[in-house]
Amino acid sequence: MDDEVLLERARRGDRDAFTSIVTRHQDELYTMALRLLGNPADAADVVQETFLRAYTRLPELHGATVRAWLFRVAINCSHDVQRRSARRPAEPLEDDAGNIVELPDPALGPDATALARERAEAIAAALRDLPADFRAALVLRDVNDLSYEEVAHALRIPLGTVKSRVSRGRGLLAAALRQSPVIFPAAEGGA
Amino acid sequence: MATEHVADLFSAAIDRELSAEQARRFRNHLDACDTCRRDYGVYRQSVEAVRALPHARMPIPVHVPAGEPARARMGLAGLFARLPRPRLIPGGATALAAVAAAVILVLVTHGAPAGRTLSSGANAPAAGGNAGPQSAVTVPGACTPATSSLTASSPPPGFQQVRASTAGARPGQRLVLATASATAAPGSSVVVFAQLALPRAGAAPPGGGAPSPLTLAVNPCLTVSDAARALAVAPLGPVAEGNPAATDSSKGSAAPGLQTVTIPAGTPAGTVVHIVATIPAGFPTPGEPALTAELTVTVQ
Repeated sequence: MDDEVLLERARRGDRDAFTSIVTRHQDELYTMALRLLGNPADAADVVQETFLRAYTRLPELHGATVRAWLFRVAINCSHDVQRRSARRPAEPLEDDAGNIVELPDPALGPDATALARERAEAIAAALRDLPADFRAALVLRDVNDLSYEEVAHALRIPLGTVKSRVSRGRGLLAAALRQSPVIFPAAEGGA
Repeated sequence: MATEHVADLFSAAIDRELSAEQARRFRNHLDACDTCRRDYGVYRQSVEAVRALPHARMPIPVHVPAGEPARARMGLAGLFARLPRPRLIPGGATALAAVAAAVILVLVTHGAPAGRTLSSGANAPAAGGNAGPQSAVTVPGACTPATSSLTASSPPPGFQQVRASTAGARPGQRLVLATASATAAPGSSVVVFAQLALPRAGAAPPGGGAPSPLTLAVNPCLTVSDAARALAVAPLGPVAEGNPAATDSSKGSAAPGLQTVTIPAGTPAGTVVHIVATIPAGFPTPGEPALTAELTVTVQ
């Protein structure tokens, strides 16, 4: 059942339909928020608040896909969480029950898993160091694989601005990562 | 084609948004220019590395409000604007009702010595015990902490008066009560941070250590006794950046764990306001003892 059908049912008061929308999109919204904010607790807050806001505003949803609209709400929630949350250091990539909240490839052995984790942490750190505007555009485009049009809708900025921010964000990220021997082992400090 | 011009096309090349003519010239340039070819390789690998990041999984269940969306729109929006937003609630749809039912009252102690018996649960400690409860306007046994809540947080920066309480029979739980100052002027509002960090079910660290990042926050009952009067506590509205006492309802983000108490104008200097946060016995798990934290604010 596609999102639009679920949405129509949710608008008529079908909680199960809304729950299906939650189930379908919660992980990608959490991933986005985690990459934007760098903190699992804040990211989980963003997801919860996004769906609370979404539920109360279902009647207002027009002219966008459910997915793009949810990302738009989540971006706003991320800004709010960022404002009210004292900047906390990045938390480990595990929840308090010890569950890995980032999913490693089960086919990898221990060494490869450790390396993959090291790479992921290096990339996440480089993302966090990007200017916020560039980071948001880049995360939506390259982490969440939104189209440029969907990114423009989520960020409420013109398409050309999205492309410019993604381009510049990618450039800054590449400049940072090329210094990382974990990402570019041959570079040894960057060429 | 100059190097910087080719660099400008890196992003569009990755997105395959170059026209056929642009793509041909771009490729020709890379074939002839080592610097651009190397830079484009780094750029492309960086983008691929970001795209290959593992996707994360929402670590806790999302709470879906009760009621139809249209009703929620009319009824809950106002509630959200006034109360801390319920989030990260593993227990499900009872949370909003719990928020609405939360009883948060503060009484003011006038001229009393710091500390008196506070009747807020079976095991509430006697904090001094030299003056019995007077004019209590709350019914502690009926107080239900607001189980809706946020991820547990710390008092805002600048909150210098902090009390924390733990109990061995409540592993991993930590009740924190804090104010920015131990004094207040008549007519002013005192911002109170009161919050129980409650580990998510099955995640309590043994021995009651510091709350982990994904602990849930619970708004405790606030009670004080006084000879004269009782004051209601209001949830603090949205917090402006860098100023926990400032509000801006247009932002729509409630302040987590923060309440305000207004000291009535004309309150004599020397009046001691006792603020006690209580988690009643048996909450949330039957058999758990009550947990309290207390501090005072003196009117000057």
